[in-house]
Amino acid sequence: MILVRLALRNLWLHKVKSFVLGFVLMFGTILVIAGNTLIDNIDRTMATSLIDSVTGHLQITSAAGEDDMQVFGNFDGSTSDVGSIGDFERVSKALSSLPNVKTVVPMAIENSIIVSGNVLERKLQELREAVNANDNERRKALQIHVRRIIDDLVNDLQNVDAIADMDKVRIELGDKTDILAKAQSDALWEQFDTEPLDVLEFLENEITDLALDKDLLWLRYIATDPQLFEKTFSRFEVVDGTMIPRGKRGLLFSKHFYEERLKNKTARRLDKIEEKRDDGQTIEDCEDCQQWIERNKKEVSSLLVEIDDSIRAKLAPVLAKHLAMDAQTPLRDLLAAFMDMDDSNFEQRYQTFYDKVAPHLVMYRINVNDDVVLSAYTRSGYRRTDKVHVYGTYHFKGLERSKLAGGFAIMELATFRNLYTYMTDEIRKEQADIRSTYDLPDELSRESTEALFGEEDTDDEKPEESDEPVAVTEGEMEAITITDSFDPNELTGGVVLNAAIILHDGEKLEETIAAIEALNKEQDLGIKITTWRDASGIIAKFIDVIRIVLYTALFLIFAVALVIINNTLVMATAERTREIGTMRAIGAQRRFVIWMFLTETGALTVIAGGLGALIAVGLLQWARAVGIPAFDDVFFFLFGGPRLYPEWNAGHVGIGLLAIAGIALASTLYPARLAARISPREAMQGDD
Amino acid sequence: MMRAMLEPARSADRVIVELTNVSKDYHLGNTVVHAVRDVSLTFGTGEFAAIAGPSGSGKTTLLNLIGCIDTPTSGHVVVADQDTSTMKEKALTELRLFNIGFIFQQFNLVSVLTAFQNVEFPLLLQKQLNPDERRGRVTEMLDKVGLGDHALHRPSELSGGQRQRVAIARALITRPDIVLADEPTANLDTGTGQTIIDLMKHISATDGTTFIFSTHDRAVMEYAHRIIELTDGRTSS
Repeated sequence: MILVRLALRNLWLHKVKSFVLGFVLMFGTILVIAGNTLIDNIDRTMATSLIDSVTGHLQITSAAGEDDMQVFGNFDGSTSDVGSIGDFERVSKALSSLPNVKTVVPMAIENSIIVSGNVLERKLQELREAVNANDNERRKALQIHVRRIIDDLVNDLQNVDAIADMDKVRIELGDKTDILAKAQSDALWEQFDTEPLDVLEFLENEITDLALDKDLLWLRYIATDPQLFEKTFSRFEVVDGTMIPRGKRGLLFSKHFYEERLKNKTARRLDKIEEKRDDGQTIEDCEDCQQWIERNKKEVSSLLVEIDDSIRAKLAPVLAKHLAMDAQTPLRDLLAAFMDMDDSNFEQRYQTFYDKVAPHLVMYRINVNDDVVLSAYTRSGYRRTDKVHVYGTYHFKGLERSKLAGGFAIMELATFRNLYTYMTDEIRKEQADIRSTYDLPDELSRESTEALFGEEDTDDEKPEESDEPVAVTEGEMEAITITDSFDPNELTGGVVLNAAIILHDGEKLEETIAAIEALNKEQDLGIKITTWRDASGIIAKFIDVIRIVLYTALFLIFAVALVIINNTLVMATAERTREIGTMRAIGAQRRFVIWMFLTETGALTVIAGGLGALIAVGLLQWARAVGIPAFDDVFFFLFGGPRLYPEWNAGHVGIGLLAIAGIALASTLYPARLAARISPREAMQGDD
Repeated sequence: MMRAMLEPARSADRVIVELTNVSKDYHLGNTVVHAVRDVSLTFGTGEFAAIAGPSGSGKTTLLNLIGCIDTPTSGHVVVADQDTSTMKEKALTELRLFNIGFIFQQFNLVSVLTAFQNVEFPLLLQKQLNPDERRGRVTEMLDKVGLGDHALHRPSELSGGQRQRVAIARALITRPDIVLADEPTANLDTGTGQTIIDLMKHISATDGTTFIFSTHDRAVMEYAHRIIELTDGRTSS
C-alpha cells in the first residue's frame, strides 16, 4: 500500500518524465495490439481468399514431380514442373474416404498463348459480312482499310525482322515474302472485285497468322471440372455469358483479365479513371489518371487504325460538334483533343466515348461466344494448338479487382489433355500390351518407346519432356479438335497435374495431412501434399515479410523504449540517492527499494498500457466499422475484398499488455538493483 | 531485537550501546583513512550525549557505527545486546528499524509524503500495528512534537524547524532504544535549534530514550549530560 502510494506520488511529482515514459509504453502497446491484430486478420482473410478461390485447403501433386505446387507460379514467372497424377479417379476415391475430406477438385494449371483476335482478323470478318450482305459502300471502305492494315503489317514485320529473333515464336519471314508481296499487290485486289471470297480465304489463312505475333497473349488457366469447381469454390461467379456446360469444351476468362488484357486499351484506361473517380479521387490528385490520359492522347492512332474512311466521315462532325471545333479538323486531331480530359469534362466525354466512338471500335479482342485458338508450347519447343469456345467471364466475389485472383482462366480438362496429349493410364496399358503381344525385347521396347514418346516417363507421363510427341507419329503437326463436346465422365478420372482438396474442418489441417500421408503410403497413391500456404508461394511469403517487418519494427521500438526507460530510471536513482539512503537507514530492506521501483513502473505500465490497449481497441473497432480500404491490387487479395474489417480478440490485447509489461520489467530491473545497492550512509551528511 | 523492545524499562544505568576497541578504516584510492581509532565507549539508557569535534574528526563515522549503518574494521559494537560485527546486512536493517531512530542534518523527509505519512513510514515497514493503532500513535506523536495541525502538509510546505520536528517524530515513532542525530541543528537558526534540542532533551527525560548527537556547536553541547570529544578519530576524554 505504501509502495503504491509512493509510486503514484513519485509518478505525479515527475509528471514530464512519467508522461514521456507512459507515452512510449502506450505507443508500444497500441503498436503490438493493432499490428498483431491486423496481421492475424490479413492472414485470415488471405487464407479465405486463397482457399475459396484456387488452392483449397490442400493441394496434391505427383510425388514424382520435380517441383512443389506453386499455384501462382514462381518468382521469375516460370511454371513449376509438378509432374502429373496418372489416375485421378483412384486418388480421388481414396482421398474422399477420409472423413474430413469434403471435395477433391481435379486441376491442371498451365500457360498457353491465345492466337486469335487481332484487328486484321476482325476487319476481314467484317469485310466478309459486307460482301455477303452486298453492302458495296461498306465493302469499299473496309477494302481500303484492310489494305492499309496489311501495308502497316508488312512494314512492322520488316522492322521485326531487322530486330530479329525476338521470340522463338516469331515466324521466319524468309519464305513468307512472296505471300506478303501478293497480299499487297494490286492484282490481288482486282481479283477481290470478282472473287472476293477466295481472296478473303487467302488473307485469312496466310496473312492473319502473321499478324498474330503483334500481340501475343499469355493466358494462365486452370483446367478443371468446371461444374465441380463452381460448386466447390463458393466465391466463383459467372459475370458475362454462361457457365461452361457440362461435357462442352470451353473456357471462361477471368473478368479482370478480360477487361485488363482483351479490352481496347483506350477504353480500359477511361474505365480505370472512372473507377478512381467513383472511389472519390480526382484526376488532378491521381497521378495514374494523368498518365492514362497522356497515353490516350498519344495512342490515338491505335483507334484510327480501326476506323475506316466511311466511319471517319461520320464520326468527325460529331466530335467536332462536341468539342466546338472546326468541322474540317482531321479526325486524328479531334480525337487527340477529345482524349485530353480533365475533371470538369470527364463524365461527359466518358459518356460520349461509349455512345459515339466505341461502337466503331473493336472493344474486346475476343468476345464472349467466340472461339479462341490456344497454343501450348512443350518443353521441346513443339507447338500444339486447339480451339476452344469462350462461354463467358467469371470473377471471385469480393476479389473482383485483384489481379492475383483474376490471374486464371477456367477451362475444362479435356482441352488441356488434348493440348498436351496426355494419355490416360488405359492407353498406356494398351501400348504396353501391344509391346508384349509382339514380344518386343525390353531393350528394343524401350528404344521404340523413346523413339515414339521420348524418354521413358520416369517423370510420370509428361510428353513435353519427349523429343517428339505422340501426335507426330500420326504425321500431324497440329491437332485441331473437331468436336466441341466430350464425355463428362472423363473429368472424374484420367490425367491431372494437381488437385485441390477442400476440408470440412479447415482447422484440422495437420491431422488431415497426416491421414492423407498414411493413406498415400498404404495405397501407394504416389502423391505429395502441399498446404494452401505453401502452394500459394510468393503470396503467403508476402504476409511473412509483413510479419517480419512488423516484428523488426516492434523490436527496434522496444529496444529504444527499453533504453529510454532504463536511462530515465537510472537518472532517477541518482536523483533519489539521499531519499533511498534515508529509507534504508531507517529500516527499509533492499527488497523494499526494488519493489518501490517495480511498483512505480508497474503503475505506469498499468496506466499507459491500459490506455494504449483502449486506444488500440478503439482504433480497431473503428476500423472494423468502416473497414480499411485496399489501396492496391495485392491488398485487395490479402484483404479478401475491397476492405479489411479487422476482428480483435482478448488474446491480441493480452499479448500486447504482456509484451509491454515484459519490457517495463526488463528496463526496471537494472535501475532497481542499482537503487537497492545505495548505502544507508548516503543519508548522513557525512563530513568525513 | 524484539526482546529489547518488549522488556520492561530498566534503570538508567543499563548499558544500551557498548563499543570495545573500535576502529574504522576507509580506503580512499591507495591511502587508508583511519576515521575512527581504537574507541571504547558505553552509553546507558536515557543518556543525552553529544559527540563533539571539528570536521573530519570522525563524528559521522562513529554515529554510523553506533547506528548499525556501518560495521567496524576491528573491535566490537554491541547495540541492544547484539554484536553488529557478526550480523548480516538484513539483520542490521532490522535492528535499525526496531531499535534505532535517526535524525539527519538535512531532515531527509520523503518529499512526496505528507508529515503524517513520513512519521507513519517506519511503522509500515515494521508491519506490527493495525491501521487504527498506527493512526493513533502517529497522531499522538505529531501532537507531542507540536505539529498536530500540520499532519497533511508536505515537507516543502513546512519550515526547517517544523521539518526537523517531523524527523524527530519519525525517529521516535517506533519507540527505539536509541536516537542518533547527525548535526540536528546545523541547518537551523540558533533559536529554532535550541527549541529542537529542548524537545529532544524533554523526550529523553520523559521516555528514557538514549540520545546521541553529533555537533560542533558549543551552545548545543551545553545541553548534553556528557560530551565525547573526538580528535582524529580518537576520544580525548
